[in-house]
Amino acid sequence: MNCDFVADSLTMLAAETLPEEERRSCMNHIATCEECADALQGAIALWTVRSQHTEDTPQGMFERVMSHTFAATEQRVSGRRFWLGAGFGGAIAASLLAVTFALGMLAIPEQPEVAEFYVSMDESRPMHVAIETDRPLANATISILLSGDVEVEGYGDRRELSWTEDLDMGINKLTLPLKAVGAQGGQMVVRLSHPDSEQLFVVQLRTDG
Amino acid sequence: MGKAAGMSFSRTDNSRFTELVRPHFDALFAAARRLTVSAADAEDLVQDVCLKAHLRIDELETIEFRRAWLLKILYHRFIDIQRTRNRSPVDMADTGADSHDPDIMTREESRPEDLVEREMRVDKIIRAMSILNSEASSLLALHDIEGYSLQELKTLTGLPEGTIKSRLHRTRSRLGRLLSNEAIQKPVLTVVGSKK
Repeated sequence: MNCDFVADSLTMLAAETLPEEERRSCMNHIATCEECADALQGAIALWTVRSQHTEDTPQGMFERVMSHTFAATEQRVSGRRFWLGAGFGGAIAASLLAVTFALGMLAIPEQPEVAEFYVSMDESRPMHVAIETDRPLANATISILLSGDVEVEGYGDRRELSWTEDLDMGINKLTLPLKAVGAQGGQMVVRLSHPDSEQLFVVQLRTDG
Repeated sequence: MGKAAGMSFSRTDNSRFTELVRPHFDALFAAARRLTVSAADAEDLVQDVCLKAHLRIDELETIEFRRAWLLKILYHRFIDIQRTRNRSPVDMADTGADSHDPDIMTREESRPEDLVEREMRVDKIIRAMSILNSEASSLLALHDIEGYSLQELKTLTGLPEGTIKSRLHRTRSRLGRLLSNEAIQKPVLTVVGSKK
């Protein structure tokens, strides 16, 4: 018995379908081989995922996804910098704001993109930002600067959040749960920066009601 | 090479894409659903996959194992999203649901506590998978979750069977080690400023 044989048998071992004699041989090897013991844990974990029950595809989903796909591609082709949620499913299609992050922009544009979003004092509302890049960006810094009567839920009165991300080429989704803490509204600046470029995106936040 | 550069799409492209994807759509949704908390999340993931695949329609048309190719994109995408979410201070992909989502309660597990425990375990597995290399993790998912054979993966990736086999074993071991590590936690937010 060796690691190769165990490797070939792990899926069946995890599924408990390996014949008893082979199972015993594998387990004897696993008792003495740390690598194979870890691999068995991995195989059992993946079997857990595999055996998850799933429901049928929701009715109308295929048509909906195709329709969004074609619309998103159409907008992409037309070169619009702002595409409004096409390409995402119904769950986040509403209130989607988009940023296109193109390489080669070495300075902050004089007129950053400006959008509008309505926040409420009664409930937290998810603001979806779609960041589209024309190639993968490692270690891009995303900074959120807030002013006015608005908070990112869970972060209290913090006015600036900053972190780094590896952005995929194409669409990256960011969801910010926002809540109004006063009637005056506010402003959010989303700054994307990378050694090659930087871009600002401004959202005017208005309080509902 | 897909259509991303200088692309243009016609109605014919769209109906061709529809016909190419339709036979695999249920499998895509099922795979997405196993990984996500709600049907809406699964739909978003499948949507992303279709968008990416549509831009590569020429490649999709010529590929032998279309379903495996699409599933590979799905796992790759999911792991990337998960990785981003793990590092982000805020939810990077709106789940629209939590572990009490009524969708989940329709699954076959009988007791809510079993269901929650299972969800937590799957969540931990997914977080561990997101720490692994996306390519290796996707390959492992295709084999161990979707049931593709080594021969099929060889055709899909062009890699020798021996290489695939050793990668799978190595990745499984790494996953097992990660799962025994209790420290798989979401990273902590770095806040660089706050209001006085």
